[in-house]
Amino acid sequence: MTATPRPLRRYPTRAVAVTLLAIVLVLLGALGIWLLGVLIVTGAWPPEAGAAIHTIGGSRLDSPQALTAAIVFAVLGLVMLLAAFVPGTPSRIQILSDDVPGETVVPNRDLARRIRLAVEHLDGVQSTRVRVTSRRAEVNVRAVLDDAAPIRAASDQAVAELRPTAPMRIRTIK
Amino acid sequence: MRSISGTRNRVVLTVFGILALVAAAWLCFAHLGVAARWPQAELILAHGSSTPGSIATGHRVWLLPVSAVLAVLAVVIGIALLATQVPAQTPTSTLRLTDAEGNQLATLDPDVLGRALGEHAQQIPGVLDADVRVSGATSALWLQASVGVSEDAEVPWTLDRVRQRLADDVERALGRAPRQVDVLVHLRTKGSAGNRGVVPSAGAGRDRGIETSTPTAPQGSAA
Repeated sequence: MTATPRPLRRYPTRAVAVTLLAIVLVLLGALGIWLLGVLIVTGAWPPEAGAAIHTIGGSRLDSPQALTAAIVFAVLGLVMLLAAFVPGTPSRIQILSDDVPGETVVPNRDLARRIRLAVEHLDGVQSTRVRVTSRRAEVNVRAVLDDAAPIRAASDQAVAELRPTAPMRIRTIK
Repeated sequence: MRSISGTRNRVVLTVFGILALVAAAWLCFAHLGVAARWPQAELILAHGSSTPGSIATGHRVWLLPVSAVLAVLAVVIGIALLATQVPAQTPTSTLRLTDAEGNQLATLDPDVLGRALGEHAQQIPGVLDADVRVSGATSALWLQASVGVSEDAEVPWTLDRVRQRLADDVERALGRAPRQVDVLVHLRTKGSAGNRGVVPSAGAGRDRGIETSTPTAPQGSAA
């Protein structure tokens, strides 16, 4: 394991995908150990799995079932390669650069809550829903206001105070 | 700061993605009858008329032990992958304090230094909690801090003070500025010091109305 700390602003680690893959490997491996273990010891497949093995073992490779299996493998393979090569969206935003070397980051959801609190304090605002990515903030507001300018101003100020290092577009929908 | 290796996970997904595509290709070639049209490939490709049973019977001598080994490997690799999904700390080493001639004067546990830095940072108004992790060598210290800041506080000022204090404390203690100071900020209300943030979701109702787009340009650093 490297002794260099990882940057705080990281791309998704794909932990969910690898966890699912690991569970499938363990289950398939355990199934294989059981089937092959019984075959090696007794010379025959386990009775509980005999019918299924007979069916699979007797299917021709040019049958529709084999083609279906090929399509499933291809889809799974493509999904895994996409998960590996598509960077994804970082869950944290870099803010407040200064003279001290290093980075300051804030989670997207904390920034979303900051914007929501700033907007909900406005008179006439009934509810707010905010979605933040590394480059955009989308503010959905239910309000009795005729003019959305105060909402835009509150959203802009909530973000601008933290000085994101990358430009951030704020979209307000009333 | 605990983390999972994204690079390792992506390498694993690449390897198994390629294996899945190879399996899909092998089945497709059998379905399309490529082996019949390309006799040189009969060693690795199967005919469409073949069945898994006939293939297993024909290669039983080596296929059975290899399959058993692969089954065991699958379980071992699966368990190892599950273990690597547990976030782990970056390993640290004892800090060595030396004089100008390079003679070792003392050693310092980085966890002790991290605790002291965190406690001092917590004294800054607006900071609810601070956890500092120290890594690297004495000559090039790397600090990573997780800081809870009150939503009611002057957040930019508070964070500037935290970063400056961490850098100054290290320089005062060890005689040189840290190589890097990274801060992960958690904006919290005072009543939820242990709450790491609530996902906002209050009602739907997205009417067609005013849609504006306001670009926010980055500003210069604070004094």
